Amino acid sequence: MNVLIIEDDHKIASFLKKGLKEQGFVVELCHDGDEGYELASKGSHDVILLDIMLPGRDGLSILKGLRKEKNTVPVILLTARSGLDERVEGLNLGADDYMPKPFYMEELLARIKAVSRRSSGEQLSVIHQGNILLNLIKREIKRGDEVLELTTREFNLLELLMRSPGRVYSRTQMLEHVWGYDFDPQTNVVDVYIRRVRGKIDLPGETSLIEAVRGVGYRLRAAQ
Amino acid sequence: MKISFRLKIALISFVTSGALLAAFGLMFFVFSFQSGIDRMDREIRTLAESTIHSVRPPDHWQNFDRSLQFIYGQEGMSQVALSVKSNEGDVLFKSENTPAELELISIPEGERTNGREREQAASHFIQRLDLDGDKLISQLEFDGPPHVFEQMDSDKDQFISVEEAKAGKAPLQADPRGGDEGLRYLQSAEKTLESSTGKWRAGVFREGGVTLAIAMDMNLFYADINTLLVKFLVGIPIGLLLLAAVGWFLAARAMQPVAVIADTAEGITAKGLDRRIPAVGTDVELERLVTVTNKMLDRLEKSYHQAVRFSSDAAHELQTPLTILQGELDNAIQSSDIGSEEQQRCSMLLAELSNLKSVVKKLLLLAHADEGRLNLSLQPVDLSDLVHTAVEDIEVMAPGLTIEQHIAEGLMVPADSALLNQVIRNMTSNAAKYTTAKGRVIFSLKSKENSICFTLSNTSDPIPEADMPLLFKRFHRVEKSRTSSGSGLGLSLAREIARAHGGELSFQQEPSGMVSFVLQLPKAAEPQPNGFYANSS
Repeated sequence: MNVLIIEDDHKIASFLKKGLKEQGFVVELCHDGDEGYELASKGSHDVILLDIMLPGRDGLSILKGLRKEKNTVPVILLTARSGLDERVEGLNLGADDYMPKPFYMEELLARIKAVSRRSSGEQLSVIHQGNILLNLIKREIKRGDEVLELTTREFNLLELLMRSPGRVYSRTQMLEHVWGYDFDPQTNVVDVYIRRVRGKIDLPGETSLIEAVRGVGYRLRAAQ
Repeated sequence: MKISFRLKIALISFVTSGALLAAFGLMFFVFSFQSGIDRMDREIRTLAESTIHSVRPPDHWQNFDRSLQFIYGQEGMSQVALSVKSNEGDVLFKSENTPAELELISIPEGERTNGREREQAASHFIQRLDLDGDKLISQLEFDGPPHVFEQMDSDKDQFISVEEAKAGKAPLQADPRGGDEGLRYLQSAEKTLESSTGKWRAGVFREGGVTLAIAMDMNLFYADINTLLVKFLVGIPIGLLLLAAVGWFLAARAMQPVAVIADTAEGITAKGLDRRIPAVGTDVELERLVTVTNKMLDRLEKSYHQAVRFSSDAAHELQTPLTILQGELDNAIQSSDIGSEEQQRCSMLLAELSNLKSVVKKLLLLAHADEGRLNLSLQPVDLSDLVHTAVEDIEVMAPGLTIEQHIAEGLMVPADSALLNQVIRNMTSNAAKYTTAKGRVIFSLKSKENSICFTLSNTSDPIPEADMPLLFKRFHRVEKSRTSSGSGLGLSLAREIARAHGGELSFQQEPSGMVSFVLQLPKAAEPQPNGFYANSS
């Protein structure tokens, strides 16, 4: 997949480039609005990551220009301001998604995948892992044909792990994703929930699908 | 007691001018009365003098009526009464309307021996009659009746000396020829009489051998005075009413600019800091007030915008390094060996970073709330669902608590889901943190007429009365120590969020040892001063 990053902050840009390259993306980098617009209008990219505050043309005006030219390339806006007006304006101008800083690479990757899928008409509504099947639309979980009962928090926790098998999640990251960014538990809620989820999805005697990473957190055992 | 300034001004001007008016009225009345009486006395005296000093034929007194008619006219005649008596008590003349009481006025002794006047009269008397220059008046020189001479010659030496004339056992006689140069010695007494025919002003005069009593009817005078009194009694209240109305009106005029200033100041909120007080009127004092206030507002606006821009810029500037830091730490966790020391250290740093992010985000939200632009993306949110999740969380966060729940199902509120979530989370983690060991937590969600009310009560150590207002202060925590986690921004932000939704977050302490946080949210969205709604389609 071919990604164009238009971002004036060199550090963020190179960090994005590195992260995306690791995932096997082809990345083109640009630090300037005018140059970025020229690159973008050539139309050879699958996804554009667009910062709003740029030297030269700003992000919103680039987006406006592209959509005027009937260029439908998926665009994800990056911005440090989480102001709703900016977000609404961006989405109204035809942005496909919006990424407030600071964000996790993981989240960005998920959104890149989502918008590129959306543009290609593909729908991701089920996640398979081992014998576990997660239906994101119906919010239903099945082990084989058996339907399992999970609470909202349990479901969201499992969904997070199942979306990226093999990826290590620290407890902090899991808290932020499942409970919200400022959740401040006194006990280790994550461990309690992992225990609950394991008890529901694992069959007795089998190695658990969720693997503990000592001193860090958990990850989903990648299917062999 | 609070009184409106306008009322005070109006009252003060009313009372002051009213008192002045009344005092002037009274003074004028008394003065008119007095001068009326004086005028009558003068008239009586003039009459008496002109009557007494004219050359008198025997029927002289009978002519009095005629001269009265000449002076006062036919009608005025009856206003004046005259009675003349000789010293022997014979009535020489008496007009028909003479009141009986007139007889009773006597000339007091003191007045009769009016020192200086009598001395002058005595030396006049000697000068006029002393033909041979021996300062003594002999029987030959004296021009009065012999019995008077005998009366005056008290030492019986056949001469009247100055001393004898002054000592005045007998009255000094008027100059029969009249005129200013002659001997004039009028003894008199004036008095107001009450008689069956009304009030009379009377004067009694004695000169020479006669006593003349003149009375003037006071009815006309009293009628005049009464008219004046009536005019005052009607005029003064009307004047006072006018004064009150004018005072009230003027006070309103004077206060008008103040009202304008107050209205403008009221309209100056975080969103309308650029408003200024318009120039009101031409009064120097107010002009100065307006100028000074506007200058103050300029400074206020400037520093306010600086403060807001600072927190907004600071938060913004922090986002970039936080993104990079977070990304790099995450990368390090992913790329290092599973369970390695490096991975654990990075995970710990990531946890600290998460706290930092949380503080930055809260500060940014608070800055937005202060600025009046806490953006809400409203959508129907299932509050019942949120509360159920909160119950689920607290069971895990604080095991061992007794949890009661009275949650009405399916209650929807228009809210910003992420922000509302944060309020509920904050309330929940507060309860988990501060509930006494093995205590009780009660979740209650109720629908009221126009609002939905979420109450979270828990057993707690009593919170000192003095600390209660501080609960919602920024960076405040009850135990005043920084040992427990949390930034102390949560409650303050939660309240701002509740208010931006048109609701309220309040705290109650109950005598049963329970404390409650009550979140109230309106069922229908209404725009609030510290937030605004954007369409979230």
